[in-house]
Amino acid sequence: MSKTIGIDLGTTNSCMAAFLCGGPIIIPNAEGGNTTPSVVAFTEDGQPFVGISAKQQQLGNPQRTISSIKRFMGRQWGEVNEEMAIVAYSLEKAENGDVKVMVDGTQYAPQEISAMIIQKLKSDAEQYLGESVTNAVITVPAYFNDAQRKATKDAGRIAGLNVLRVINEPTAASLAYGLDMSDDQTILVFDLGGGTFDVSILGLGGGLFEVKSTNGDNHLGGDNFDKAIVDWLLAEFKREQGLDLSADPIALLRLFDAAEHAKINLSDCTTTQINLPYIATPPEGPKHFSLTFTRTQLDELSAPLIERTVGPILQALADADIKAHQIDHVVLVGGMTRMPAVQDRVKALIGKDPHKDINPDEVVAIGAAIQAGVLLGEVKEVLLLDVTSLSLGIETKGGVFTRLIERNTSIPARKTQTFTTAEDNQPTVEIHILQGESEMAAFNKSLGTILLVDLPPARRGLLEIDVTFDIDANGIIHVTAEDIVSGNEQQIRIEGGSGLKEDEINQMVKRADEFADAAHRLRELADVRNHGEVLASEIELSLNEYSDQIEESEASLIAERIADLRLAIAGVDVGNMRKCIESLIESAQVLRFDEGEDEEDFVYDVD
Amino acid sequence: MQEKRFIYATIDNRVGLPNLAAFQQGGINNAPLEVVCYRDIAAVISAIDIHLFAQAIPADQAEESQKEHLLRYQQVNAFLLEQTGRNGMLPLKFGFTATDDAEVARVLEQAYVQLRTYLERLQGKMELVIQVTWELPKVLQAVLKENPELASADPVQAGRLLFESAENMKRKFVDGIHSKLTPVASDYSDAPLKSEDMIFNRSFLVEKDKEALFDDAVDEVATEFEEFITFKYIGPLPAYSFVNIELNQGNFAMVDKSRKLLQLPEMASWDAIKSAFRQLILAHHPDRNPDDPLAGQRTKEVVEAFDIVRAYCQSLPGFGEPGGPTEFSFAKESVEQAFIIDDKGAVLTRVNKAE
Repeated sequence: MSKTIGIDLGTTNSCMAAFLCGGPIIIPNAEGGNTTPSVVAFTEDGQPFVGISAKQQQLGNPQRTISSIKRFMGRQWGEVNEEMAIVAYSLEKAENGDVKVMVDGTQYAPQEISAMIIQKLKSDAEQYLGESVTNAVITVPAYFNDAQRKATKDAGRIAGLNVLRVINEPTAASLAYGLDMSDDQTILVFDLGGGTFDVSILGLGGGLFEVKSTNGDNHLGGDNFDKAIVDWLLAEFKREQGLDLSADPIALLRLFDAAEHAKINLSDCTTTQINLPYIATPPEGPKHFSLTFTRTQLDELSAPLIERTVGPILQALADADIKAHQIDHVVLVGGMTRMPAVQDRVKALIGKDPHKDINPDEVVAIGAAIQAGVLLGEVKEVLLLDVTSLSLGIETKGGVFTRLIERNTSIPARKTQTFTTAEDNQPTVEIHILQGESEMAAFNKSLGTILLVDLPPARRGLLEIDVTFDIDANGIIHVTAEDIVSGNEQQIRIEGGSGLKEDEINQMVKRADEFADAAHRLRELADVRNHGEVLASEIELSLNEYSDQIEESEASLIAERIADLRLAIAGVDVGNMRKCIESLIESAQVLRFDEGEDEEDFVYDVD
Repeated sequence: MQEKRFIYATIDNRVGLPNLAAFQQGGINNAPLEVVCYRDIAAVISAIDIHLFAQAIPADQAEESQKEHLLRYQQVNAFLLEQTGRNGMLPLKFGFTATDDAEVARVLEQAYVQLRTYLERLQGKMELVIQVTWELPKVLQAVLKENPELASADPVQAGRLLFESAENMKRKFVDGIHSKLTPVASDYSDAPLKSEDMIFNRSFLVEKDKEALFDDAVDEVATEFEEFITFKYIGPLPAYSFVNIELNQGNFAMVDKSRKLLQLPEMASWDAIKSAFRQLILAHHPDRNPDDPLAGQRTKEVVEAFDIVRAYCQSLPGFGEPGGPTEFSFAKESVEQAFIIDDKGAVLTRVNKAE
């Protein structure tokens, strides 16, 4: 039987969990970690690898290392200026205005990069569970719009997973805690992750988790705090040494790395040391950067960023029609909530000590696994009723945004609006669909234009076309239209929408499979090479030691075969390597080392 | 005699209120104008006798019998537009009434965001109406003069060609007017053509500073086509055509249907309403009924019904306040007296569609 996993696909780290033996558990990755860095790197010949190994080589390979890809999911070129300043890899504008990542001349959609992360999680989970994983619940920030949700769902599909549901991260977090909570409680979830900030208010009653309101800032996360520290470090260095490091990508990456570490250290300590030897190498001699960084300094730098969380919290309280003192529980999510200044601010605002029993990096994945349990009928105690975080509407006269489904409406939700023609015999009606909170259409996120086409000839105002806007439980929007007079379903096309088309997704699925194959072959190659190298040196050692105890011809044969093996290892032919390994072992039988153990090592899958 | 409050407009009260006494004839039936304030906005109202006013109900006669009231309503708003100057005013739809001053304040409170937004949008702007009629005979003559061969052609064919040419001319006029006037206006709104010979009837929203520019543009385009078309230039007016706020008088059919869908009795407490909603969601949610394709549909209906019932309850005085009502009545007379403000945007826009 195949398994369903819950995936928290984070900006900096991802995490997965499954519902096993009646409870949710975190699944460690192949390296043994509970979280996996959301980093994808490419080798020179274009092979991707994911996770801690990718993150570790980022400094030496900045152009081919893709981090924080979540910030570009479902985004248009014009929306990501702030994000582009943070990353070191190249981005390009696609024909439909989407953002693409460029690595050595190959274009990747952000969905594809995310899919590589999901694929790694999937295969690690399969290894851990000993079962195939085909279904998943994936979490997204509550503030993700339709395009971002669709992109996340597509990433899951590209990775070969059937995405049962996309749920909001703060909602998932509350599920993780809520299983143990008594009835009629109000929960505030404060979720400050690597790239996004979300706040949600939920009511728990009679087993129903009802999200009352949600708010947030799509451009606020740990990365911004790192950037603030880096900007400060740059200024310090310039003041001290008169050098501007901001144009040096390697120095910048090192600074970001150091800033992140310092920030994390300062959650537990009050001072930390930043040491960056050889940060610059001007002609007059190398420069080092070393300074003591205190929590007070960090707090000062982060204060404006932390203040940005206040507005959304107050708005969420207002939208839920709840006063701060009526909140029963505060749940913290995301690594950034480890920062004492963040915790203090939340406490000052709500007046409650936050829950900290579940690791804030894992709580979302656990909630996703619980939701997977609900969907599979394994969890019966709870049911989630989420809301849409952004208002859905259309553009009307004068560029005004007319709301059809207000934000914080429970989903699934549906709204039907009747449209008519403005002119006689008008053959088409065009409807511009948007998501957002601005009164003016231009400031909201365009989801595309629907064209009602092939309308029957009629006088203006006579046709009545019911257009139904439907938000499903994933928060994804579907549009259907019906001509009321004739009862015909109208043909609908959404144009100018972003995101991937069906055939693009299929192509990416294929490419992902190829990468998976190639990765498999590469791993095999690396394994055989390693074994060959170890074997060659071990036998060489023994040969040197015992050569006087064997025949000279045997010794020279062994030496020859060692040389052959080393030659084979330098190539890429796995079959040839295996052959050389076998013949070397055979000829080395005369040497007295422990054959049994080694032979076991030399059993390979020959496929 | 039963009195109600008739609301003319919303104005900004941050810069002092207009001198209403200066408008000596007063409001409808000469009742003195008054203001009700909420935060930085205020409603301009006057008392009316509801019975006198309600005679207007038969739809086809409504306009006739209301003419006098409508005229006064427009005069009051014109006066307010002049008085408020650059600060802007927001005319409300004709016929907007509330039971007493407290309810007027509640309307302002609940619709504050919308009213404030509109006020801001209309600040320093006014409505100018351009109505254009053409003289078809002159146009046809001109077409004939340019195409003398038409006169001798087959009459059916010639008629069709003449008609087509005239339509082309019309398009040329309308396009010309549109391209000259639209750039100097902030917004526009087309109204139905009122007569056979009217070819253009549009309200423009124009900044007061740009009035002269707009006048020049009108002169220019009028001169260009003066041979064939006549311009009627009305204004400045309050921005009647640019205000579109959904404020709904209690709609019994809709609230009743929703109440029944939630399986609630005619009197229900807020806790009972919430509990009914939860029970129905737990029963119908698609996550609990993965094999039932209609579960999603039913859930959406429950959510929609709850939104309507909640909007109704929240519109009642004292909702959620200590000492407020513990039970809500869904009886016809209660609902019809209620004043539901659609602060959730679109919940109630399909009022008229509810059976």
